[in-house]
Parts: sequence; C-alpha cells; structure tokens
Amino acid sequence: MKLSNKKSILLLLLLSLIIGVLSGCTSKTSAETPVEEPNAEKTTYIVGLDDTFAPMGFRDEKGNLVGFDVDLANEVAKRWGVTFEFQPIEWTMKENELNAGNIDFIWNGYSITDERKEKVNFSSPYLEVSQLLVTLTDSPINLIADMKDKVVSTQGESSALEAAYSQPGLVESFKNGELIEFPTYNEVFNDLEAGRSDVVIADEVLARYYMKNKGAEKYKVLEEDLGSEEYGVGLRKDDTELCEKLNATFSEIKKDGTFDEIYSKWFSEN
Amino acid sequence: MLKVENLSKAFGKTLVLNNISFDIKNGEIVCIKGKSGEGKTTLLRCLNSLEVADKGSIRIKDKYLFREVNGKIQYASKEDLKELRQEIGLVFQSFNLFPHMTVKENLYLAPKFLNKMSQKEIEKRANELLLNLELEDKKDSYPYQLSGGQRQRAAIARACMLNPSILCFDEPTSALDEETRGQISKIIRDLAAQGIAIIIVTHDNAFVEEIAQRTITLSKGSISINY
Amino acid sequence: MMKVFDMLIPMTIEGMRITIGVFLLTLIISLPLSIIIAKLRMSKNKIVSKVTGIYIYIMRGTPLLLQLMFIFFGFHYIPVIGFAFGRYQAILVAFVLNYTAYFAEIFRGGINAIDIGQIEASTVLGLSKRFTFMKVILPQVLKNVMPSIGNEVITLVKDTSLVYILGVADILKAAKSVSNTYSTFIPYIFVGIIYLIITAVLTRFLNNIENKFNYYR
Repeated sequence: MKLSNKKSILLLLLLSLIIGVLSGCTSKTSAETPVEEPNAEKTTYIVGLDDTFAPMGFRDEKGNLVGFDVDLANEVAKRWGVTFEFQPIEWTMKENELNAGNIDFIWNGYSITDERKEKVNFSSPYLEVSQLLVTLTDSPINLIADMKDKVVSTQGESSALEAAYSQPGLVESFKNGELIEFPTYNEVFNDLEAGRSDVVIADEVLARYYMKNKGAEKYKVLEEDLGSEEYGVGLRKDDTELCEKLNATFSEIKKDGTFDEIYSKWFSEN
Repeated sequence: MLKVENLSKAFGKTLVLNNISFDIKNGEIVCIKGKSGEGKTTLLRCLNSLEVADKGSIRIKDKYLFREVNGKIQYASKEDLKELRQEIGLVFQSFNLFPHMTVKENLYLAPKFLNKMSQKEIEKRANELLLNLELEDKKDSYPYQLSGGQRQRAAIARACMLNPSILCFDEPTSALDEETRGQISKIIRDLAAQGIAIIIVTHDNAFVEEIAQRTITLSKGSISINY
Repeated sequence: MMKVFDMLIPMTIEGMRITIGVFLLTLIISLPLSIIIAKLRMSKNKIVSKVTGIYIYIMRGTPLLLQLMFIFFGFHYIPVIGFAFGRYQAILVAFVLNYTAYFAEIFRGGINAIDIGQIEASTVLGLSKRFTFMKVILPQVLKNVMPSIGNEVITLVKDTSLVYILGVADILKAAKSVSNTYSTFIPYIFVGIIYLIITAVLTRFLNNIENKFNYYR
C-alpha cells in the first residue's frame, strides 16, 4: 500500500535527523570551543557582537559585516597574526555568551560601567562617547532644566538609560516621573519625530549615525549632556593575559595613527 | 460447542456473576434474559474476553478460553487466544463499526490482519455476506450513510467474516423498529441454520418468544431458569 | 528607499532559511514523537506516566524563550553534563522538546475521546493492540485533532523568531539589521507582511487537510 512506502521514508528521515542532531551535539563546532589552551597557542578568536548595532558593528547594503568595532578588531587580528571570527549574539545575552565560552570578546560599543566590571574584564578604553540630549530643531528645550515635566525616552538597557538614572532626581522630574524605554533608537527617534517624545537621551555614536541617515538638520543636540562614558572590550575575568595583550595592541594602534584613520572613516561628522 | 462452568465475576464488592454454568450446541439459538444490571452483558463480555473472569472456565470447541489452575484463573496462550477470538464473534448493541472505513473495508480489516486468506478470498467472502444481508449496493458507503438496520447488518457481516462458530448479539432489537425486527429474526435463523450457535442477550420479551430455542434467565447473577 | 529593499530582500531570503528550516524540522520531528509521548503519558505504568507528565508540565509551564536560553547557556552551569549544544542544535532541541509536549497533550485528548467501543470491536475481531492503534484509532484521532494541531503549527511560525536570543538570524532579525542600518521602520512592515503570507499559505494548506478528513462524519 502506498502508505507504507511514505511512512518508511518519513521514518528514515526522522531517524537520520535525530542521528544528525545527536552526533552534532557531542562536538561543538570549532567556533564554539571554550578557551582552554593557553592563549599563545590559539589562532582563532571569537568576537561577539550584536550585528545590528550601527555604526559599531552592522550590515551594509550587501549584508557584509562592517563598522568601527569591526575595523578595529580586524586591525588587532592583523597585528597578532590570528583570525578573528565574528559571532552575532543577542546583546542581552552577551555576558552569558562570554562566560559560556562561546565568544572571547564582547566588542560592540560596550560601555565600561562599575556594574559590568563585576562580571567581566575590560580592556583599556578605546573610545569616549557622551550621552546626548536630542530634540527636534524647533524645540523650546535647550537646557537640562527645560526637561522638567517633558516626555523623555531612550533605549532600554542602554548606557543612556543608566546615565539618566544616575542623576538624582532627574527622571523624577520628567512627565509622570518616567523615562520611556524603547527596544532600539529607531523607535526612540521615531517617537521624537512623531511629537510624542519631547526629548531623547541617546548614546552619541548611535544618535549621530541615526541623524546622519535622516538628515541632521532635523534635530538639535543640546549643549549639555548627561556625561560621557568609555567603550571597552569585554573579556572573561580569568583572561588576564589576553586582556593585557589587547591593551598593548590598542596603545600601538593609537600611537601610530591607525586608530585615527579608522575613527575618521566612521565618525567624520564629529 | 460452548461450555461454561462455574463462571463467577465480581466488580469490587459486587458479585455480578455467581457460579454460572451452561452449555450450547451447534446451531442453537439461546436467549439470555434478565433485568438490567443482572449480569447479562457481563456474561457476554466474559465470553468474548472483554472482561476477565474471577472463577470458573469457558471452553469453546476444544480449547479453553480460560480455566482454573491451582485455584487461579489462567487464560489461553496468545496463539490460542487468537484462534478463539475467530471462533466467537460479537455484534455490539451500538454496532461499533469503524466510521472512517467503508462497509467493505470494515469487513476486510480483520481477515487482512490475520493474513490467512488471500485478498481475492477475502473479497469473495465479503461479497457473499453482503449479498446475503442485502448490503451489496452499500459496500462502498460509509457507516454514517447507512440506516440503523443497515449498520446492524454490516456489523453482522463483519463479525461473520472470520467464520465464527458462535455469534453473540447484545440487545439486537433495541435500536430497531418493528419491521426491521422481523428482518433480524430471519437473519439470525439463517445463521443458526448454517450451524452457528447464537447467543442473544436481550430484554425484549417479544423477540425472545419469536426466536429463542432455549432461554437462560439471569437473576442477581445466577441462573434461575434454563430451558 | 530602493537601497533599503536592495539590502532587505537578500537578507530576508537568507533569514527565511532559518525561519522555514526551524519550522519544518520542528514539525517533522515533533509530530511523530508526540504520538509516542502521548502513549507514554497514558501508560498503565505509573512511573512512566508520571515522568512524562512532569516533562510535559515543564515544557508547557515555561516560556520557549527561557527554554532556549537554558538549553544553550544553562548547560554550562550543570557540571555533570559533559557537552554543550551548538547554537543550531540548541534551537532544534528546545523547539522539539517544547512542541512535542504541546502536540502530545493534543493527541492524548484526541485518543481519549475515541469511543471505547472502537477498541472493543477491534479486540473481539482479534486485532493486535498495535494494529488497532494504527488502523482504527489513529486515523480517527487525526481527524479530530487537526484543528488543534493546525493552531499550534501557526503559532510555531511566529515562535521561530525567538531564535534571536541565540544570535541566529531569521527574517525578523533581517528586518532589525536593515532597520538599524538605514534608520527606518519599513523593514519591519515588510517582514510583518511576509509572516502574514506564510500564515495565509499555511492556513490554506491546513484547511485542505481538514477537508480531506471530511470523507466521513
């Protein structure tokens, strides 16, 4: 009967799938092997990043991975004579990925904070960015004081968010005492343009990229900002050697002008 | 043909069948009467191995369905059980036809499983039965397309496919009207004429009058009359 | 605007491989597996039944997102286990475990709903338990459970977007990528429409199957 042929094919498919999955399980791909050997012997490192984070690490129109952090990382790899593989990760899981050994670096506009220092090792800072306050061009808001009772939004889980909450009384002074959070700055700026938000707090790097895309003349960046922070590369706590090596290479790159080249490629506006 | 000895069955604390003994010969039509809940259906189910007995024995032809060995009930081996199930058939009160199969597929299923007859033989036997039961034109119909009487005849045909020597009926007239009652009487008599022993569980007294050669009355789990 | 789609379309096609891949693989493995699990759940052996019940309870009682995270990241914290899943294996394992549990409960309900007379008729005809299940019970169960199964299948399409948590790129992530590169919301609308199209095609397909089962009532 026809059914028994179909059934046996399906059964075979099933079995081969299960076998495939199971055999795959016993060996992680080389990209996922945890760092066990001393660093000196490694030839491949995994750089973890959110590949949708423009302009630090994102996809260009052809789908290639590009960005400031990508260029910087590739430069380091070149100098070490090793391969860096870029592994897209979900940003909220970055420390998990690092500690599970799936990635060796968190390298994606990763702001250095005391909180994070408890979980990871940071390289020396390689970029300083401010938390900007942005409004539409014709907004009456010019000072932080003007933000009282206004609708303010920012990206969730961001340094901008932390910066806002770190200023005593600031968030409470906003309308309804709340700071509205959106998943990405696209939605944040969207809210600004729609007139629902009066002012947004944004990481400088992201804000400038967004405004460049949309036409910087639409926006006004306030003179005051909510402080600045530094980006660093995150490493596992026990990867101290690797960290030192990275710091040394960063120094080199800054001293010989390569850093400035990469910087001007991505942040020419500034 | 069928010999029941000292059959007892309890459900929990209730003794539903109490020391039942009787036998049935080829071609006999026996009606089992009794009020509801007096054990008729349980008896039928024990005969067809739908219930496990507590005591006694049932012998069908030359094999024991079960008997007591050292005080414990021992059922027939898997092989023997298979044979015995072919020897005794049951037409359920609600027929229990397979709704997702046509009438002829309903008939083909068991013989196909038992794999003793070729496809041709199975089809031939099915056609014979359907012809005799006036269901020939319905063989490609689904049970939902049949009337009550037709469904019953289909159920009978299905039970007969395996050439049972004993055929049981559970309340065969409960779902039918006067006219179809007459039909089922004829069918049963025809079957008996072929040598099949018929056991009918019923509380339809008129039907009993019509068809019974012998009547067993169950009262509170025991046989009160046996003629 | 054109450049948005120049990037969006190829990335969406790439993402579809994951979206459709996870969808199909999960179904192919879960559906047959769930029938087995359903039978285990209905087993007369109290231990088997209980253990299966606990598995079903856990998988239905926690979010699939959490299960993905646990299976990929959490194993790292359990010292006993000597291996860890790769990204794609973790996805497959989580999805299959999760959906098998849901399907199993649907099948269990469907099997229980079959009139016991069907089994008794089969017994009396001398059919084996396995033959009865395959030829008498299961076909009827499939007809009954199709709507519920169909529901879960539609849900599965959307659940595939959860793979983002392991950094894997499905069509929703493609939208995010393009959206962030060009600072526009349009990719999300595009991908939303893609989901709708997939669902429409699927619904049609499921309806066809349901109709095929209407050859009897």
